[in-house]
Parts: sequence; structure tokens; C-alpha cells
Amino acid sequence: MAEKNKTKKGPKRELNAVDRRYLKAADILVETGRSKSHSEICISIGIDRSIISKMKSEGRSVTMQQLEATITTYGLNSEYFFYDAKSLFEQADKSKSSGVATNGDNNKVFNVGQGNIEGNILYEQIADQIINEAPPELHNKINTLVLETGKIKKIASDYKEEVSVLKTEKREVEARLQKTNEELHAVKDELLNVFRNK
Amino acid sequence: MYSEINKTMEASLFPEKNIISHQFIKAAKQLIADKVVLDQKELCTRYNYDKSFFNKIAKGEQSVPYDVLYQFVLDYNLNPSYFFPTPKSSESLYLK
Repeated sequence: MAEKNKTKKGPKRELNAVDRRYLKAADILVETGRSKSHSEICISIGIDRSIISKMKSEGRSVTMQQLEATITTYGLNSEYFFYDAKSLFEQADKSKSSGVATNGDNNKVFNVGQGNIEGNILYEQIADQIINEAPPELHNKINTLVLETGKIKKIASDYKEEVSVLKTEKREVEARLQKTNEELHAVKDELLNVFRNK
Repeated sequence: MYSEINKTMEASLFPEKNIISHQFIKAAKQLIADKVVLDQKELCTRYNYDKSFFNKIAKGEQSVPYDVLYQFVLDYNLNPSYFFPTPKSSESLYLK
């Protein structure tokens, strides 16, 4: 079995240009704090966490899907992986960046799925793009889903408001009840005193 | 998470296996329309594939091979963003 594994593994393959650039990009993502580690990059793009380390140790090649997912998730410049002397990060597009935070290098920081403002904006842009590219027959379904989502959000908001009003009413009733109890206790004490004095 | 959503969306939007293959077929058609290459056969010959290569990719029977895409982009000086579309990337096939 061990012999079989040995023959299966074989010698380390030489990495091609895209693989080398991919590994460099992974290092840059970690160095610039866009990702904590190589494992986190793998997890964020939905692949096995050890793929990047296997690229380094076994000369495993990056797949097109892996490359595409990394570019999309981290908002990278795809030219970096094909041509020399290209920036890894896409230049901020002023026409699309209103209200979006940028870092000191004038590069947008996108952390998709981490719930931050930039990530949400990216999700919205991706959603818009998908809707625009979808076949016309899907448009009605998408519109219905968007309307239904809006309705559900409205209902949730109405319920939230109703709960808030009910909580206020409850607090008022509790305060009145407390006052009534105190008055009853006072009357009870007074009655007890009357009986004691008799 | 994102890639899973992407895969599901891709599966319902076009017959090719993934967005890269989809864009590759579009790009090849564009090059033929722009008379940069004569026909699909010319591309197949250039990258040492038989003539069913494009049909297989177009039908989703196989993805565009990594080395073909890489060489294709370099040979025709194409814009890689065209194959990896993001909301910010340019939609132009040719590199400016």
C-alpha cells in the first residue's frame, strides 16, 4: 500500500507561470491582511484547506475554477495571473465606488461573506450582474423572489414594531399592577391595625 | 459558500460547465466574427485538439483546459478579465 502511494505521488511537478503567480497572490493576500492564512483562502473559495500547501509541496496546479473563485471572492485583477508587471488588486473604479471604503493604496477591500459593507456591496453588484445576464424567462421568477423577499422583510419589520409596542404596554401594565399592589398592602395594614386596636 | 452559489447559478444560466468555458466559447466566436481567426478548426489545430473540442465545451461535456485558455489569452493578447468576470472588470475581449 505504502509502495502504491509512493508511485502514485511521483516527483514534484514544476509549477507553471499561473501557478507561481497564484502562490504569490496567496502570500500577498495574507501579508496585506485580506486573509489570515492560506487555509482561510481555501475555505473562502470552497476548496480543501490544504490545496495551496499541496501546490507548494507537490507542484499541484491551480484549477480554472479555483482561480476564478479566488479572483471573484477577493476582487483581484485577473491580468495579474496572465501578464507580467500587473497589479494584483483592481484599481478602484470611481464611478462604482461611491460610499465604499478604500484603503491607503487606493484599492478596494472586499471581504465577501464577512458581512461588512464592502462585501454587501459586492454581493449586490454580483446579484445585479447575474440578473442582467439571466435569460428573460428567469427575470419574472427573479422579480417575484425579490418582491416576496421585500414583503417578508416588511412583515418582519411590522412584527418588530408590534412587539416593541406590546413591550411598552406590558411595562405600563406592570407599573400599574405594582402601584395597585402597594395600595392593597397599605389598606390591608390599615385593616390589621384597626382589628389589633379593637 | 460563494463558489457554491456561483456554481448553482452557472448551471442554470448556460450549457457550458462553468463561466470560464462559457466566456471561452463566446471569445472564440468573437475572434471568428472579427476575422482574427478563420474558424474553430484553426483554433483546434493551433491547440492540438480535434474538431469536436469546441462542441464538447459548448455542450458542457468538458471544461476549457487550463493550458489552452492561458495560451489563448496570450496568443491573441486578450483581456483575462473577460474570462473571469467580476462586477468591476471590463467586458472588453481585447486588452486595451
